[in-house]
Amino acid sequence: MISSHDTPSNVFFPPYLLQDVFEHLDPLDLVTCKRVCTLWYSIIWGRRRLRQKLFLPRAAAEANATSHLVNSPDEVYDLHPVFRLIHFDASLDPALATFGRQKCTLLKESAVKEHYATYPATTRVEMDVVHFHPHLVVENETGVTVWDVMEALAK
Amino acid sequence: MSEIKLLSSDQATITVEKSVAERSILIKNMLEDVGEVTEAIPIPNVNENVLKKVIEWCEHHKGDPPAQADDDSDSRKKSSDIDEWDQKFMQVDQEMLFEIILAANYLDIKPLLDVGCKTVANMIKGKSPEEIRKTFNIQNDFTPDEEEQIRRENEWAEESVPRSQPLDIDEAC
Repeated sequence: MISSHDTPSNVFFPPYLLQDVFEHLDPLDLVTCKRVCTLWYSIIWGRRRLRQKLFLPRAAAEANATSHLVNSPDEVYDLHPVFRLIHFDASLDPALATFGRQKCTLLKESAVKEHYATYPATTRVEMDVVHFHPHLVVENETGVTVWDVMEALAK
Repeated sequence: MSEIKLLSSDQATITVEKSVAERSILIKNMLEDVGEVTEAIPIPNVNENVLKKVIEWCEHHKGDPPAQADDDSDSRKKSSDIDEWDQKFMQVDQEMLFEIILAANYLDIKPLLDVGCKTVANMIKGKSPEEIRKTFNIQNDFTPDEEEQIRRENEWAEESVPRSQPLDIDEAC
């Protein structure tokens, strides 16, 4: 951004302040930061709020009785970016669904918005995705990540 | 207008308006505890250059409304919204930027800490891991196995369009 920032500093920047920096990043940048070094990786996974950013956020308006996911009804979150990245071509075998940024998504208008999870982090996600995945259940005792959902969708 | 004196780590005395210095919660609490002070207040973690810079920020922002009681609202988290004066203020070398953040943290000046962290966040945005390492002089200490595992974790976010391009789903279809 500013050229004068480009010379690395020798000042020690403590991890607890890095957390504050990461709070200002969106999920895609957080994913990049996870790849920088083991310290950054562990900071991001060690901080609940940052981890949740990489999970599936959830829109409050869609809270409904059939969902047993724990949520505060007052909280409103945008559709997680990952759902804008999934490409489903109904004419193809569902196993061939690809995940790529430039691809379109049926999910944008689909029922997934009503059922996706999870904020706060949860160990089980249930959602109605598209017709060939009428009801998807993903479980992981350490918390369901975006990646878990991706894998389940690709199966 | 009452004034107080601050003593930097390198023994420089700086005179500052009390109301300006009280942007620092640390100093504010200290003054409340001890009442009237005539001697300089030692600020052992901050050198003269950094302290002057921090005071400059406090002077510019002395009229700001007090910070909301620890709000977690999204508005505070948006990094793009650094005001113009603050952006100029933060155009310093990386070392000074980090020193300001450390001082803001130590002196407990939350809005300045926020501006600093947002500035660093902006230095990260849109960069590749390698570019980030270069910017901050960080060693890549992952083993090849770990790298492969993380690459898999991140597959959903892999680049296939430039980051600067906004994602427009309808158009992409």
